[in-house]
Amino acid sequence: MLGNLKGLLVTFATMIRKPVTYQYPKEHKPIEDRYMGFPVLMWDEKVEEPYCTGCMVCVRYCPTQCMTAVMKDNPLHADGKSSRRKIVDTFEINLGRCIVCGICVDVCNFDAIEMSHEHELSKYARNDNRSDLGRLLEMGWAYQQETGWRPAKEKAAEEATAEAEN
Amino acid sequence: MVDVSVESQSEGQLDTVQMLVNMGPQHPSTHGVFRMVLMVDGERIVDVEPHIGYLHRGSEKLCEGEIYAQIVTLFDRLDYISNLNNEMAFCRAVEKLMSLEVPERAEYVRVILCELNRVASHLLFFGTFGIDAGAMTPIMYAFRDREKIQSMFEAVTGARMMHNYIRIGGVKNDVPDDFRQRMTALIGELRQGIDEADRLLSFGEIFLARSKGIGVIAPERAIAYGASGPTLRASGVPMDVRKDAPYSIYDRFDFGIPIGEKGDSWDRFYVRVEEMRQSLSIIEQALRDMPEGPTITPTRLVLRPPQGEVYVRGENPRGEIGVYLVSNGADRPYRVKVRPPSFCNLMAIRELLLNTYVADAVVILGSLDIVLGEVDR
Amino acid sequence: MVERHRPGHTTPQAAVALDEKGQALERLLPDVLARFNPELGAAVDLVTATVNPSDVAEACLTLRDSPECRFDYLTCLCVVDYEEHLQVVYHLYSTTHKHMMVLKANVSPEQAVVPTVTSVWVGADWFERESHDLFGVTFDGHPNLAPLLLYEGFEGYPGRRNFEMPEYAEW
Ligand code: SF4
Ligand code: SF4
Repeated sequence: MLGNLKGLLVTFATMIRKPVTYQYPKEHKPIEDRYMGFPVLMWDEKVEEPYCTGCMVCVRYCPTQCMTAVMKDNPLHADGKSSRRKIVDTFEINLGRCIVCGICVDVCNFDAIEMSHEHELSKYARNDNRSDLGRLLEMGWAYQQETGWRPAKEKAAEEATAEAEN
Repeated sequence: MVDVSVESQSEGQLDTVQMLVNMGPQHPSTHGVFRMVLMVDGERIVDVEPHIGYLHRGSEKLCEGEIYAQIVTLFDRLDYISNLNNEMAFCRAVEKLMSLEVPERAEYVRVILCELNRVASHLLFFGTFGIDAGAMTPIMYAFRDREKIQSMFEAVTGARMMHNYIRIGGVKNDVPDDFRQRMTALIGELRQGIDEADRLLSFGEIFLARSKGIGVIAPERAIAYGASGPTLRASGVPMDVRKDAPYSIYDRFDFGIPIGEKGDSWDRFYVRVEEMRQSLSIIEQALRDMPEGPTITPTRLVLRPPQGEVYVRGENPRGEIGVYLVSNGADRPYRVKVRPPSFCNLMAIRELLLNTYVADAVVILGSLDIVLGEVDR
Repeated sequence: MVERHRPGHTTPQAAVALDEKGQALERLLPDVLARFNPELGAAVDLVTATVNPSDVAEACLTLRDSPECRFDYLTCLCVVDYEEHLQVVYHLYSTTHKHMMVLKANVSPEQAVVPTVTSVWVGADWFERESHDLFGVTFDGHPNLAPLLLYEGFEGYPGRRNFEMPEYAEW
């Protein structure tokens, strides 16, 4: 009996409290900084090309084998504008199969791929989650702008110089 | 779904017919895809045949084809309610095989997150068990608090469920700068939330009537079945890997092991509630002592552990997880066997259900707190 | 899996380090299991004993009932396919003495029969059914060896190394 009354008290106390629910499609819960959404490709603003060289390291280590990449000679390198000798030609991630594990980011040597904050998976067609290079770069660009992302190597180098100056 | 069998039994004046009732595989009370074929005589269960395997993905076989770093992601998906505990078990197996040292700070981070995961898992159980017993609101309270834990995980590991955060040799990256403050605040909120939920449900008359004395299992039988975790402790056996064979840094903390008296469904429920409080106290102690330093021992991406076999035990929210790892010195394991805690707990279901009522079957099954991802692997 | 053999490279072995309880068991086991001619060894931190497959049930009963051992808890039962033989591995634990050991039995893949231990620990039931499913080890005397994880009528033993995985095509 006492237990029941105590339980009722909790119910009444909750009645006057503010609800904690987010009404999802209208209202989104804020995303944490570290949130790992889908992997996206990064765009090198300075040279106007993707960071990705199509080296396929990420493809090999992806546990679900959901990505493909093809490499080509970099035309900008021939013109002397870019230091990348090879560049990505086509790249595809099947986001429907990606398990968002972040292994591809860990293994990439060129800081070319990053876990974005993108997480909505609903699409109109069955194959729409197979994202090609253009779409991945677009999503990546949005992420870059949102967070002010900079490649880890660049950051590390800057920190090192800052320390040397101090 | 209902099949009337021909044999009939007369009991007093009434003619009763035994009936075959199929419960599951898609039944709200089975927490996944689990099927029980119940032979009932009126409301009384006279025979049970559990069927599992609907979620069999061959995880153990898949492990044989992946490199060690990738397998962590597979372990995430075994018991998808307590991912971090699973990851930790696998990583410990590899570390033990390779005699790899884990930095102090990483151990503390691991323990904090694993205990937090235990609280999250028990909160989920709290809610669903309430539903199984017919109380619809407790899950709202439990999920409100669980959501805070999930947000914390999101801030630390980057994912809400499949973290891939505990790596071989440590953890993926250091915790965020405001970790300590946020955790301290979170513990306070959780304490309050758990107390509140506890007051709401645990001692309610109807709830007690639904779960007290239902599904009793004697300690000897529970041991013979290989039950572990809260299921075994509810029967009064204080068996906990964290105490019996302390792994990681569990020997540094002061915590109690709640045990039940009778081994009925309510005991199994309340042991978990108490365990949440103990876990919070472990987290507090760990936060207090957490040293600074590196969080991972750098290893190569493709590991080649020495030839040999190793078995590690760990305490998951659902019981004792065991990972048996056989390596032949290659970059992929030769054999990985997981001893899933719910698998062993579920084995006792037949004995628990015999001679109970159909309505209680739901409560008893709920009190075992199974996760089918782990039972079927 | 194709093993890569680099010339001049020997596979390192895992270091063995028995703790106190393990050492005590190592001294104890030859006497307890004397009847079964066990082959004792160690795997990292656990004592292992290999016995004849036909003796498994009796050895388990002895281990469970002898007062110094009291292995009343079957932690894990699994099968490892070493290609030339299948190894049935029992991880035993004692809730009173809190020690652990490994019991092993080697069977040939064609004639994979081991006596059941369900009469020793009821908890072996599903483990044995699972092993029967995936590895085709028959547990002699088991009350019901129906498929557990696989569906009825599944062909082959998917746990074994020579099982051909079906091809997977992306849509
Ligand atoms: S994302 Fe990185 S690892 Fe993957 S192909 Fe591009 S450069 Fe290589
Ligand atoms: S996040 Fe994981 S699954 Fe997804 S593309 Fe990267 S490696 Fe593959």
